[in-house]
Amino acid sequence: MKNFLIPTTLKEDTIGAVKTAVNLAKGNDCKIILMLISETPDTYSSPSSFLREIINKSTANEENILHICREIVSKFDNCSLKIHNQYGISSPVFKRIIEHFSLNLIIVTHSYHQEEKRIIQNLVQLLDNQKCPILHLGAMENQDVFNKALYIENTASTIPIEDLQQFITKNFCSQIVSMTSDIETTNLEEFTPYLTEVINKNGVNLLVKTRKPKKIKLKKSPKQDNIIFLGLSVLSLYEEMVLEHNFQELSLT
Amino acid sequence: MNIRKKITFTYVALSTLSTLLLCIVVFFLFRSNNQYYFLKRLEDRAKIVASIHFQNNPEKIKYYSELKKNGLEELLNEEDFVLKINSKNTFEYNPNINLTNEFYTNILKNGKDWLEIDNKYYLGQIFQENNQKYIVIISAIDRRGNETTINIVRIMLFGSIGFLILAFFLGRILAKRVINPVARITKEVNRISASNLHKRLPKNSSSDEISDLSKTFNHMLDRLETSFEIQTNFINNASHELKTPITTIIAESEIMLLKERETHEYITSLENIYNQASKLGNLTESLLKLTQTGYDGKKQVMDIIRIDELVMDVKSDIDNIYPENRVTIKLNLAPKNSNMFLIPCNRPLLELAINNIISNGVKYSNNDEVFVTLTADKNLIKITINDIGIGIPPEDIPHLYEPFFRGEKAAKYTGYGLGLPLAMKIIRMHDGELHVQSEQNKGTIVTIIFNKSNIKNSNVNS
Repeated sequence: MKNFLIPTTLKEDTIGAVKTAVNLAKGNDCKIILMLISETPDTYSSPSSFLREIINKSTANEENILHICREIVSKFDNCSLKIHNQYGISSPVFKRIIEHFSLNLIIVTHSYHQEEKRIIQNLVQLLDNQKCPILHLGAMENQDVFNKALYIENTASTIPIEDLQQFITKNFCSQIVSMTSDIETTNLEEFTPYLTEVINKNGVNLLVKTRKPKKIKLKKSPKQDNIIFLGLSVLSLYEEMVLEHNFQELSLT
Repeated sequence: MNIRKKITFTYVALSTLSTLLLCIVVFFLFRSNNQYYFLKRLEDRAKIVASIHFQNNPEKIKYYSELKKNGLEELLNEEDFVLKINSKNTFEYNPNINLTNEFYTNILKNGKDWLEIDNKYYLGQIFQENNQKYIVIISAIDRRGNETTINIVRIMLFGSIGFLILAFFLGRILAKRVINPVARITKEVNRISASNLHKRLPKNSSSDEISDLSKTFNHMLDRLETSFEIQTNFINNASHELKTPITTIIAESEIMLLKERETHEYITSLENIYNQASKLGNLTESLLKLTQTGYDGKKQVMDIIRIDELVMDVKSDIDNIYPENRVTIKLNLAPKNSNMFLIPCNRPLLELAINNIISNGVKYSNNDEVFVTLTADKNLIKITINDIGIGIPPEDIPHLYEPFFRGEKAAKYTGYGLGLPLAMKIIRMHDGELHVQSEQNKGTIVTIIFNKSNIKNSNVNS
């Protein structure tokens, strides 16, 4: 069973995200959860206004996209689609959502990163501290097959490459073919030609990076992650989770 | 001023400061202690004077006077006065005592006060007898206190001077101890120049800052040497390393051109030529990039490959050049999990390095058996290349990594003495070690070890 969460505002690229999820399921049973998030309406005035506010009003375009998503999923017997409306978000709430749906992957579309709504920006920042793997989809179209990965090593990373390779091969059917040290510490502009050269030469279609727990301060304008500029999808893995996962595998065998 | 002097002077200055502070504290504590005990003595006397004054019994007056005179130690310029208090603010004034009004006011207010004028202490206290209050004033000079104070100041002065001299010598010893390792490193580094860049500072087993410094120096020298030699030897290296693929291409085309052939044979042959040519391209590019940027180990995008696959590729290359070779790759000691063989590297360069070493084995053993053993675990990947060839005489071993060095025995084999030095440098770039063990006419064992980062502990099943 594989479960995917796609936080979405029902933009065009949600369809791509759903396709990606279906592909990643690889015939296994899977549940795709589209999460629509909005602020909790004011409850001071009256319960009736709360009830009025809370009704989801979606536009015809959004309905259409939802319809396409449903169609895609209905083609596959092993997949099911679920819409989850979330009002308000906080770190513990998010953690519970992940536990409740026993999520294996969170897929975040490119447009979702660009959203200006405060609550969505908060959600994007909260993502980083969750243990669940996150796939940030790139701006380029047709990115639903990942087989060659470029590993961007975090300077303080403690995870050995073989662990990462094992995890990625098993869960994403992808191979790490190249690695580089963290770009943030080096000069990005100087480095980009090398990187694009390697990406083109080796046919890399996924970037992999690891993250560690850190304290999150919800800022108004979150810092854009450098590597998103490359246009490729970025898989962000929580280091401890990878190690735990491999350790469990080890004890099973 | 050099650091040694700086350390000495800083040490002396700090010692002086702390000694001075200590002296000041001791001086004031000593003085106040003296004062306290002297005033206590004056208080005792005041009590006795009051007792004498209040007594009606002449016997007792005589007894107390005797006690005061003989029982207590005599004080210099001792005087006592008893003044009768008339009302709250007035008392019988004695013109012989010349003291400030404030003193009297304080006595009347608090019942007690003391005063020091020119080393003479005045103590005033109120006593009461039959509802009549009296002020008793005792005055005396504290000669002994004064003398002891002067004494202690003298002791402290000479002590401090002695201590400062001691501090100066101790500071010099300290400075010497601190500076010595640095001076040693300076001496060692001075010996290293462009002509002997392969020299390194001696390894220090301790983990202090100084050994960090020598480690950093050694790392820097590694990088410098590699960049320097790769840049100066670019043409040599390029010509040497490009020879192999070119030979293959020429051989392949020659064979094809011998007679007319079927289309599929041409296709296979052209594929081979294409493969070799693209390898040539990659290699040139890697070497060029290396020459261009030097090697700082950080800027590069590394390929993640499996070392066993790389060795297999090398083997198939060698098959092309030495068709009769007897290279055997042993994987029976290899770990179950193939991910253990993963290594981040620059693929064309590492392939070149391993190719050079295995080819040497084949070449210098006249196509005899060469065993390549691969092992890996959590901490390292090890490649052992074992041949039964002519071996290397012990006197040649230190010169193995010098470009263009050719041993006497090796002279009858074609070669330029460039393969191993370059291989060594490439392996060092990948944080690896290259060890050569050899016995003449018996064979050579070359061991390549790649250390995986120590802090990263893997859970992968080995």
